Amino acid sequence: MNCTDFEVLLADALGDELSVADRPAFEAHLAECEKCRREYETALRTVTTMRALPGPARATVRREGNRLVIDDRPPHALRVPWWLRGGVFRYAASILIAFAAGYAVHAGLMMTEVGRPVDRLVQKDDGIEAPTSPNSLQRALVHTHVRNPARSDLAKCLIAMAKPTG
Amino acid sequence: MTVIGDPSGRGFEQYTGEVYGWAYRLLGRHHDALDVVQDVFLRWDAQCARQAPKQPRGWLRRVTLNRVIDLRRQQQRIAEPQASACAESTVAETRSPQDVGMRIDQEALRDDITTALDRLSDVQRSVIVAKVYDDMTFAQVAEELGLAVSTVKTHYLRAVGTVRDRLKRRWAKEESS
Ligand SMILES: [Zn+2]
Repeated sequence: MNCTDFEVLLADALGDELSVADRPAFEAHLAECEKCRREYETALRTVTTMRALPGPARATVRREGNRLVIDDRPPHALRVPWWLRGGVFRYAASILIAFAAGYAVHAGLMMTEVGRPVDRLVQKDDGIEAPTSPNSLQRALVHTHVRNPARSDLAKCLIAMAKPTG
Repeated sequence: MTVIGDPSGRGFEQYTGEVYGWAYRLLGRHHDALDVVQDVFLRWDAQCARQAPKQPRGWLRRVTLNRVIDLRRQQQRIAEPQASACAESTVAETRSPQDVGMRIDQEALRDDITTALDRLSDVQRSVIVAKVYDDMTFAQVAEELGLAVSTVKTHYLRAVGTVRDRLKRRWAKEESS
């Protein structure tokens, strides 16, 4: 096998589709050709690195009437820390849950017509974190007492920056 | 729990988990991923009003990846964020410094990967994501995209090569430190 034939099998090997028949020749070339071995190793490392990015626990989607509902809790959001799991802390936990329920009702009331919670501008140490879509940004600005974003230069500027280019 | 409107019975529902999954993996933030789901859903609706896509999953993968790349670009333009600032929204949920470090590193990795994906054509991007994240065979990808299997393999190798060129810098840094 030469380097050109190897290239043909490289995609199969990287895609986990190398046939049993092709494997011996592929491996023999790997063993004798340093250039192709490097090519294969770095490409395999690339694919492995990409796979290592954690995905979500699969979002559960169901239909309620004519609406689509996503149970979209991040995978780690509802893990209860060990110190809240029992004994004397149950009382504290129940207070927390009551607050959380209150917040959930509050958040539910703030759902917009397309069903997203109203987005906010959040003050961070190194600046302000803002929603990235023009519509959520508009809502966030109204929420942050920019009563009429269409009349505020700063708001117009931010919304223009958030507009998709394409 | 988020309600994203009326799917008008056009079948978006069955793909929402996948759309969310592609977006979440590349953006790393729950609310960003939801923004993408919502946006893709609106585009899907508009597309279906004209003509339903023949290969819904392929169409959704392509549109989702484009939206992910657009969102990344917008975020970079608005904030030019440091890796630490990017990871901040998730830091509150973490427990140890190692955990924080890992999240920041993942955020930098996402940046590298999406920057590389940005350099690819729509087709190359779809091919690499279908192979790497959806575990599809070359034959399945070829059918979905209406291409020859050999063409799909060529796109895959080019896409892997582009991402590798980007990751090589990170590997060099890792090895020197
Ligand atoms: Zn060779």
